[in-house]
Amino acid sequence: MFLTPVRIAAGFLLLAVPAAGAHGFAQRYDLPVPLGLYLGGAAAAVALSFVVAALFVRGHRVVESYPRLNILAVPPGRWLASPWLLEPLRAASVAFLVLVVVAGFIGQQNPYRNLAPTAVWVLWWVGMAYVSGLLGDLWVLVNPWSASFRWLERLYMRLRPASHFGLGLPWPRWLGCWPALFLFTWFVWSELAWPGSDIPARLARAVLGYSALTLLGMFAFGRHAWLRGGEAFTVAFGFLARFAPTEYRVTDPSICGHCGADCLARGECIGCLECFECAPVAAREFNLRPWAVGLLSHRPLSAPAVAFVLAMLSSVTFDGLLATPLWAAVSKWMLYSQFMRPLIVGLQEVTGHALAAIATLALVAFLVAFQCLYWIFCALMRAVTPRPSGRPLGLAEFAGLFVLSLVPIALAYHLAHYLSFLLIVGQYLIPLASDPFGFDWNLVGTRLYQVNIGVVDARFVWLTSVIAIVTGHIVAVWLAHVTALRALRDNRAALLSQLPMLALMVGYTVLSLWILAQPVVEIR
Amino acid sequence: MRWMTTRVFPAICAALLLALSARAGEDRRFEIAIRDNQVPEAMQVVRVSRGDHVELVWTTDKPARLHFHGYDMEFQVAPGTPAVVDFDARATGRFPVELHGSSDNPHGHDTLLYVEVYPE
Repeated sequence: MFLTPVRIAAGFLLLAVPAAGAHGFAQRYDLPVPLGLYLGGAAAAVALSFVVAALFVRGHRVVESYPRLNILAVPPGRWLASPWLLEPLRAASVAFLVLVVVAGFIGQQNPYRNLAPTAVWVLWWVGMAYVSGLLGDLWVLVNPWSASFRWLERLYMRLRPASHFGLGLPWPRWLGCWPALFLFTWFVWSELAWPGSDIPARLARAVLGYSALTLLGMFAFGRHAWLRGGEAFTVAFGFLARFAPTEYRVTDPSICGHCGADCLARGECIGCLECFECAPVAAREFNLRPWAVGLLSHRPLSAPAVAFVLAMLSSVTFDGLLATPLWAAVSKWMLYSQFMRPLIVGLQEVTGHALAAIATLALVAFLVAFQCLYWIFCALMRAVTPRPSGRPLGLAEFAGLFVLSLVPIALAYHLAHYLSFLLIVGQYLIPLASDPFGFDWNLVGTRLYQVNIGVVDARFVWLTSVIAIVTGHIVAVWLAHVTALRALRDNRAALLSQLPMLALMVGYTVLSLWILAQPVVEIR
Repeated sequence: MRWMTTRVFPAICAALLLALSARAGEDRRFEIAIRDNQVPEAMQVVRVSRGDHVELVWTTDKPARLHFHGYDMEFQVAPGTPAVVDFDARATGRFPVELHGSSDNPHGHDTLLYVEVYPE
């Protein structure tokens, strides 16, 4: 046979691929976790659940407080918190937001050569979630919308003292964080189903739209009210940061009487930005604490907050499901099914793409199903819990008390799912730092940096993923037990109440592991 | 502590040795025929180990432009002339080979097959 060798320089090249439209931006090169490791992880999760439960069988002290170390009490900590450091950091964050939007509009539209998609999806969304969960609530410090609004506010006050910037509308109590949930669902849709998510100009338009909405919301209701109830990412990163080993707290309860968050209803003033900003320095603490203790809630979360946490958990899982062969089969079935056709054709008008229409439908169905499932398990928990004495807990209280204990599983799955993505796709930031607009600039001399796809080894990713998920599971089981003991004040009732929760957690953990054991299939 | 010296220590040494001296890879050769913008079922996942030298021999019934993601290689295949693409499997992972702009789906990126590189 006559062969014509087509030899191409192989290796770890990032040659400018001819702009052939948008590539799948979120390309992941993960190998499926091997069956043995998957089964081992699942078995370990089940077995360790019983170990944790057994510890509680023998009686367990109610955990009321935890060790903490105020780093504002020592000079280096105070330097870290000084405005001389924080204000430039905020200025940089605002400048970066502007840069991303400008890059999206005027830069080259190849998603790998434009700063916008990598900055938004990799650095900010995945990276900030890692930082929030593992280190602390960085977003609260650098939120560019909050920072720019505060500057406007101060400028206005300087020009017209003794007046109030904004409309000062009251935030209705019933509204809670429903607006944030709505915006978060829209964001998740744009991440997972919207075909424009990797087209820089469309992404920039969405970022600009959200910025305008956020500034308007702050203007109408006040900065803190909007951040608490309307700014989806303050709420989302705030929930993740409850796992983190840092907290900010106000120690003087007399200050907290005035804030709109009703933060004292939770017992202590932790993570309330409004109180923290107006508290005198002596009443402020920035503490190191053990991981995960922030997820122990004294009071049940409100209904919209429960829905928000569940939406976060289910969207992370849905993201994983989207790359499984199961999803490929389901979407193919939906594409050709006569039954679904009218719905898909109708949605296609909005989303512009049949697959996006299908993903939209499935996302909504999945979010709703996840909420229903959680409430069913809460009803089960309520049904099996004996009521020793005092007022029995209602369904909403069960739901509000235990939802946060699921966060470690979701966080662990998030870490596992995005580990190699962050380390590989994140490298695109190096060439993009030199050439953010794709104009062949070479600002810091890194334009020709070649992405090293071998930077993480599959075995390392497998082990890290499975260990992270099993650890997340154990922490979740522990949190739920401690919460039950605190709320029910009775060993036997607490243990029994945890049987349905344990089943739900094992199911959620095994589902997470199962997704990691599936070969990645990207359909477009 | 005996198990430490008899089991763990040699294991660590072996792991280090493995990590330092990559396994002498094998030469692997796969013949892949594209018919009607698809490859046969058995060829939809090509499995190799890290360190292997891999040769993919492509034949096709229609002109095709392929993109091997991750390793980032783009190449054309024409009917009647087999095309040989070779590479050293240095990075582990699951990498799609996509058919760009077939006549049926001019702007699409249909995944033809996946190359899976496993840790040795």
